[in-house]
Amino acid sequence: MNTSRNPNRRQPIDPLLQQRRQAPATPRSAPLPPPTPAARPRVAAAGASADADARLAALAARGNGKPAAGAATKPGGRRTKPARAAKLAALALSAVTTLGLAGLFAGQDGNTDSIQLTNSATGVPLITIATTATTATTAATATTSTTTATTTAAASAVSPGANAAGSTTVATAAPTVAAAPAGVIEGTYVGASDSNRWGVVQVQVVYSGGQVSDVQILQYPNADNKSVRINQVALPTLISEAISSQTAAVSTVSGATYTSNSYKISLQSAIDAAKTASGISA
Amino acid sequence: MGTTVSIDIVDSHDRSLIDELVAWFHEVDAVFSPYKECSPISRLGRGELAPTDAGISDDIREVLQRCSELAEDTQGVFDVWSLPSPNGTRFDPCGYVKGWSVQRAARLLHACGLADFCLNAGGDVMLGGRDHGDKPWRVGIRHPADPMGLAMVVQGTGPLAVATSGTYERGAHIVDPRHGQPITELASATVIGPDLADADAFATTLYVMGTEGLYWLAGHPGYCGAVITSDGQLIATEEFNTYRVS
Repeated sequence: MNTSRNPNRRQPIDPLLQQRRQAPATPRSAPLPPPTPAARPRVAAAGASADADARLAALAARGNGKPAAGAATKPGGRRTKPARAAKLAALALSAVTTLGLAGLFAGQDGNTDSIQLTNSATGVPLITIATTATTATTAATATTSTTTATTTAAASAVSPGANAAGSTTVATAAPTVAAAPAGVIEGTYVGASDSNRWGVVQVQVVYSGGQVSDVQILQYPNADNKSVRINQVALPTLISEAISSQTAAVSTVSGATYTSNSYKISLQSAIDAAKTASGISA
Repeated sequence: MGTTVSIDIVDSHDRSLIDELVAWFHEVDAVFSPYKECSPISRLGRGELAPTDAGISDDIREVLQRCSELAEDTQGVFDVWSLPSPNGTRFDPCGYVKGWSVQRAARLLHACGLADFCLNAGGDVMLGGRDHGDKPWRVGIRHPADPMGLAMVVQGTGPLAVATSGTYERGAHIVDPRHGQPITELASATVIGPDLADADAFATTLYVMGTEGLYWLAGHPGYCGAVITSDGQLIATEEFNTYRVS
């Protein structure tokens, strides 16, 4: 209500931009980084009041079949911004896990360059991740990035579970290593588990015929519980504005954690003064 | 528990009712205060009492049960067993008990047939019905950088809870229990919803989670939130803005 009162109001923040803006998650022991200007919410130019379906459809369309505007499109883009890919992957994996969706790695023949997650109930495309790599490497890259989202070295050991002979394949978050799809031995590859702000993430990827045939979630923060609900409801549109200090007629104030001793002392002195002025012995 | 409670009841001058509410809050303090060495909560924290002991009251059981659910719901962010407590243990349920006790007081008022009231415990507000002018209650949200100023005003008809977590006078007193570091992204977080105990816990959680916590909060029907970042941006959901008047 009264949204017209403040011209700064109603600047929407795209939820996906919000997701992307998360910096590489901090290791558990390190202090949270101070906010930087680059980490502030970016304000989207359009889409203020679109409902959830329209928003999701728009997101899907934006990345469908070609690299999304502003996404990791430039050469080496995914290398320089691993957190973005990781976040998208995490988002995608979240959707897979929590909604029980069919995770369709579209175009397993390698002719397309996107991952599309479709809501199996409605058929609405939820998320499309566009990359410049072939499908198989796209999936592998996304998966690897997810498991290494918070490691600074960006290196993750991927051990071939089905290959008991035990020559360990080492993949990195950079797409360069993963970009050898033809040579991948069939089997199940377990990613390193990793902690982010929300918990531990671990996935495994199944290769067959040189292609990713499945990605399975081994660990995901609260995968079967509350994050389900968060994905089932429409993501809220966030509205950003600069705050200013103001006064207004209000009944009470929320957020006033007065230092209680000072408060009590002051209150008591006021009561005493009132009593004294009224001729009542305190 | 080191906080103050204000009680504003519309159309009642029944002093005994106020006395009853004050007695309730003192009882809560005696039982739940971690500042008191011999309170049941301090003894629970030291392991002298077990949650299953016969001497544990139903109230304590209720609080322990809900805190346990919240620890799971908030993915460990709101965990009353992981906080440094004034009594030296790692158990401090104050963050839940404050809102819970006010919620209980509101129930008591309802039971007495009083629908219109405003209770404020250390900045956590429980509204019933309408204000003295038969209008929706108006609640100012403290400006994090200006102790005398407001960042915004919300209004609503009760039952409605408004809880704000943040670093005000006490300094950086909220730490992320998952790594023990103080919160720096946000200056404050406000949650509006039907139950003050939950709204308070959710506000603390939102404050720790940061702006992304607004998406987590969206999974809780009836609750909505807004955050103020350390550099002075207000980020609110559309639902929250329906409560705003400025």
